[in-house]
Amino acid sequence: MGKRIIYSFLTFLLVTIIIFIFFQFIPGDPVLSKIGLEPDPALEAILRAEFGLDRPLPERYLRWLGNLARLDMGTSIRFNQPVNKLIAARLPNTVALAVLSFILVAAAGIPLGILAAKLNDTKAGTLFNAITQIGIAIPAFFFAMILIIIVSIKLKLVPVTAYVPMSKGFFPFLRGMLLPAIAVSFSGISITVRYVRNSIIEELESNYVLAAKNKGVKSGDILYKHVLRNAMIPIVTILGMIFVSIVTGSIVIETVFSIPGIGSLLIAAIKTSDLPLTQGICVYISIVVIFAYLLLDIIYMLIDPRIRLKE
Amino acid sequence: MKTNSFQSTLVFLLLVSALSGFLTACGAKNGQEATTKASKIVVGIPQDFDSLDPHIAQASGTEEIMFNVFTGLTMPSTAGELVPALAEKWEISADSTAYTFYLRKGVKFHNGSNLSAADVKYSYDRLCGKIPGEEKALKSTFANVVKEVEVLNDSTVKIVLKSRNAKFLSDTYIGIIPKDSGPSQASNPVGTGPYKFVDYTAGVGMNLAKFADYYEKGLPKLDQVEIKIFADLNAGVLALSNREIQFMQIVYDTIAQIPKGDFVIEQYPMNTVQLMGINNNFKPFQDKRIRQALNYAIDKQQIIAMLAPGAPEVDSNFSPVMAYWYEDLKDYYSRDVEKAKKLLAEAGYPNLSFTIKVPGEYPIHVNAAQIIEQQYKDAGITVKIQVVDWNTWLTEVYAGRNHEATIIGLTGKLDPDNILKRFSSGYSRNFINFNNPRYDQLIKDGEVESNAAKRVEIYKEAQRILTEEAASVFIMDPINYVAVDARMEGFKYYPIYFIDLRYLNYKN
Repeated sequence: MGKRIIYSFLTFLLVTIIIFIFFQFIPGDPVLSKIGLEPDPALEAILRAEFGLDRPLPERYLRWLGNLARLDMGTSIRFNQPVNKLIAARLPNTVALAVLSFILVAAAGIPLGILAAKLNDTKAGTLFNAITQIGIAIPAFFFAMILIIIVSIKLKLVPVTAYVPMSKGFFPFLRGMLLPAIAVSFSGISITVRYVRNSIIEELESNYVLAAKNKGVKSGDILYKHVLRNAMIPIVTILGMIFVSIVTGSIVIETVFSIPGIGSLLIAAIKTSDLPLTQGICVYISIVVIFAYLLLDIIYMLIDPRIRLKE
Repeated sequence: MKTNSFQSTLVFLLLVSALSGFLTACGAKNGQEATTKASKIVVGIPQDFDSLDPHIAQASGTEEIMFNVFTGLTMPSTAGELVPALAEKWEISADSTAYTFYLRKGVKFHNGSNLSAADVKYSYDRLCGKIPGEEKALKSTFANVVKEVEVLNDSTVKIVLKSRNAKFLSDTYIGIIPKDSGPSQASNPVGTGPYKFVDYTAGVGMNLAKFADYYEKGLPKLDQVEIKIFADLNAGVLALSNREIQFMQIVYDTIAQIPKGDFVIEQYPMNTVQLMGINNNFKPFQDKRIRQALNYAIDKQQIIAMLAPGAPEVDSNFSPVMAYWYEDLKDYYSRDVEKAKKLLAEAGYPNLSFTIKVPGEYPIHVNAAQIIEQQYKDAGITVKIQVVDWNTWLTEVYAGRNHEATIIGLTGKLDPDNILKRFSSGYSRNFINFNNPRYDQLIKDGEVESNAAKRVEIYKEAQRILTEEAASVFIMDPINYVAVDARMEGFKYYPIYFIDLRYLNYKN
């Protein structure tokens, strides 16, 4: 475990260096971006000094790293606010969206996958396959637009800008997150359905199922007590990957639904060459990804105690 | 198996209906709350605020909203003139270097304090970097021009300039803030405007509330304003067509998506000049004949018809909206492909080829580039289009002048100096590298000329030079399209970026 943490930390350090260097090569200047078409030399000079942009590159990186050790990620050039504050204000939205999407993926994907396995070789099963195929193929932002047009504009169930900050009540907040979560999770659900279905069908053909059947065990017991547990290992792996793709997938969806999350902040930060903010967000995303994989390992252990022995 | 699939279908249907039930239950409660309240307006804007501090904010998108929170000594009228605001009147000294402003009596700031001459001095000293603790100048337009600010009495303030400056007055619309409030303005803006600041969430928007003590009685009409940021225009248009917003600037392409009966589309020229800026330092473009050929080969009316029907055509870097200063050069170059070919052949470039760098964030410029590409084919000119992002454009094209040609809109200002000095050779963002000694002289003269009629002549000549020298290809003053809820009245438009919320109200 200790080794893993060290590797994670090194990966993280490498990520920050790459972003830092990468930013030097992409065109665009944060100060010019900020002052736009009406330049003012006085303001320009103030901003350059204020954000330390007049210092050499290595010095800026080391200073940033030093501040990070004190959990200070600097000030956003675009927004004139501490990076920590900006991220803290938006992180709950992104986390809520990701968690809700993930719950949808698991809550809908696994039962529907079992259903699909049961329906295998029927007409309904073919229809199921077709739907999940569309689900995987359709881009999330496009699906989001269709959802908005149907649910908000035609049926008028929720407003287009349904987002409400959590401070104004948990249920209004949840309501605002539901449609975006459906949009984010649609492809995840489809992938999960297919995996669960295939995994179960495969298990159902194995010898121990045949043995159980011959012993006269009820088919429901076989499925839920034996097959599902064994089928879960590959499913958990895929769910872990889906979680990471949900976190990154929400970047686009947040903008479509005007949700102030990390994703829309990241887009704004990159568009304006706001290095401190971009770095800060990447630090957070790295932490989330590292944490997600750690969680995945723990879940493996819970499902299959044998995995613990390998450590 | 039959019953099994029936059960499964049942489960699936239950799941779906439960989900839609949840949505409906919530929807019924909060549905379209915003639109039913008659004293609130929701305004959609395309980008976030760059700063809430009126002396630091630079983006016109910020300014157009914050005009409702901050008021300056003067303010623009709908005709683009400067009218009294916090200053009731002003006097200009004989040598035009000192301005005495007489402040309106009984004006209050949002924090309850009374406006006095000390607040004006504080605001201007702060802009010039003369406040202890805030020693850095915030705006060069003031730091380079203002010598000192004297408080004559509680309601009279005299601003002395370093030298004569004819455009100084047009900058005095900058917001006045209470003495010593500078450091807190970015988080808690306090001004004297019709609306006071309530809260701001980065990336989401801002709430404003009616300021009961606003100096113009009876204004503003509405109690609450919510500003919502839509980084994605499509999301904004969807929200608009669902009547969640009452006011939003849109683009021509999206008009068809707005429900006709629910919204009125207000249209007016922006006082902006869309031009194909051609780099006068680029080898072929150093030859005036080539620059003229580019002007003869273009069909502006076709561009206008396709991108902004009804937009005024322009032939210099000036919009006819500013009629007082405007020099009519209409049809100086009307389309003449043969003449263009002849000029190109004479200059030795019968097969001219160049690249237009255009910012992808602005569909109107990208589309214009594509139309021009087609039109120029007739004259044997080959155009390559390179789409770059806005930030790259600002750095490479605007500041770096690294381009052959580009298409951009330059926004109009209250004073012609701010519009025309863009092409004086010493200006840091003279991105077309225009270099004309007579032009430079005119800009210098115009800055200090105090005789209004002479000043008009100076700027008209400057406009003529830009056209005669074919400094660039000036296309049109694009149309601003604003969707306003059909239930509302009191919309006013200004030739500068200003969303005046004071008169907006629901019809009875």
